[in-house]
Amino acid sequence: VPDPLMPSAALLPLCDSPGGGRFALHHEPGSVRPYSATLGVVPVRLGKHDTTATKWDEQKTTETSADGQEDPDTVTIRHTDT
Amino acid sequence: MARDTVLVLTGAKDPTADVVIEELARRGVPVARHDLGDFPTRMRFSAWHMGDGWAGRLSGPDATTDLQDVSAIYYRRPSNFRFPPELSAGDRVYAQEEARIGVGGVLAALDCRWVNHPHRVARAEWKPLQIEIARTCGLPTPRTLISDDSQEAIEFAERLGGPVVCKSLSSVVLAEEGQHKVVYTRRVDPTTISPRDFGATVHLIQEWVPKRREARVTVVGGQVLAVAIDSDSDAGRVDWRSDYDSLRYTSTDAPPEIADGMRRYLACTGLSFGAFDFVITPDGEWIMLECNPAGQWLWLHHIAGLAIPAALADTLTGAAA
Repeated sequence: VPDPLMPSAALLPLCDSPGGGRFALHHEPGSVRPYSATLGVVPVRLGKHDTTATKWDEQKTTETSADGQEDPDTVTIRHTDT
Repeated sequence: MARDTVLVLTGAKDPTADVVIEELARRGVPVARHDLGDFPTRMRFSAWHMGDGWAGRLSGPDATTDLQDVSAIYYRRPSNFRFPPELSAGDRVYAQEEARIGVGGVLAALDCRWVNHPHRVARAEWKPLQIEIARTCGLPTPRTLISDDSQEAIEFAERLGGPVVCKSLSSVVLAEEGQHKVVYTRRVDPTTISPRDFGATVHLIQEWVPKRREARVTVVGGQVLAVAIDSDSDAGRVDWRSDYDSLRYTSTDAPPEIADGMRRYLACTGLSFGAFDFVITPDGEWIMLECNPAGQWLWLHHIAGLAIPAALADTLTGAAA
């Protein structure tokens, strides 16, 4: 969760997991993926607009449980805003 | 007991908070800066409710702050709680939630000024809600479709009779193939979209609004600070975030009815700060794209000279009331 007090995912209705939801972010996209995600590009150099606070990395633990076996993993998520 | 301290919650390195703190210090306002990421390994937190409101203290590595002294909270970019590595993954989730509701709940319950209250920020980040609030406040927005049905997108574009754009609803940054990726606003042809990909989740499709230029308007405590943004590149003209090097900034004034609409918008959402993005059409009409309740602004202060630190200091100290 990117925000310690109010993770946005916690606002999702019917969210059933502590901490406000579970994200399934993977490094390797699958054969089907959200169309808007396919529009993602590597951000341009922000240069003078790049302040320390505009982005930060979070090591996020992910878990998959397709067969009931939890498989912990970690991905790096970078949060930004405008 | 002097209840005059501005509590700044942010990470260790935050130049945006730095300039606000400098402005507050120049005015002689006591400031306490803490990062929630210091809890619980480097920060102690205790609070008690004895029937007359919450009291307590934050004891960080550099300072101890009595909650009774806090008159305002500037909620910037605190990092997340950092728990002892010895905690199991399951216990870390439990500890995170206990801390969020315990520490966060006490802070959220303090009777003081906020810029901005995190609960209100979370609500205000929902773009569908932004569009509806904008309507009620008299701020025009682009015609919008949210759907997981690509055929709906095709028919929506046909009804508009013009180009459409796709943009993300959230601010999640993708981490894939060893790179970080962001989704900027892109003009799209719905007839070329894979129905399977489009059906994987909902998508935000909007009419493409012809633009003469764009505007970023920072509203703080009723003060409206606007800058017009011009881009010399095709990518920058579609989404100015995609090509910062092509941008030129000019201080400007928002039309009175738009300024009033933004003030109403903030009143509706309970925010005291908002960063609004507008398209200015060739006819001079201002079309609101979004309002970021936690938007960045430091570069506008540096480049265009917008007096945002002073406006924030006014709001945090109640001078803007």
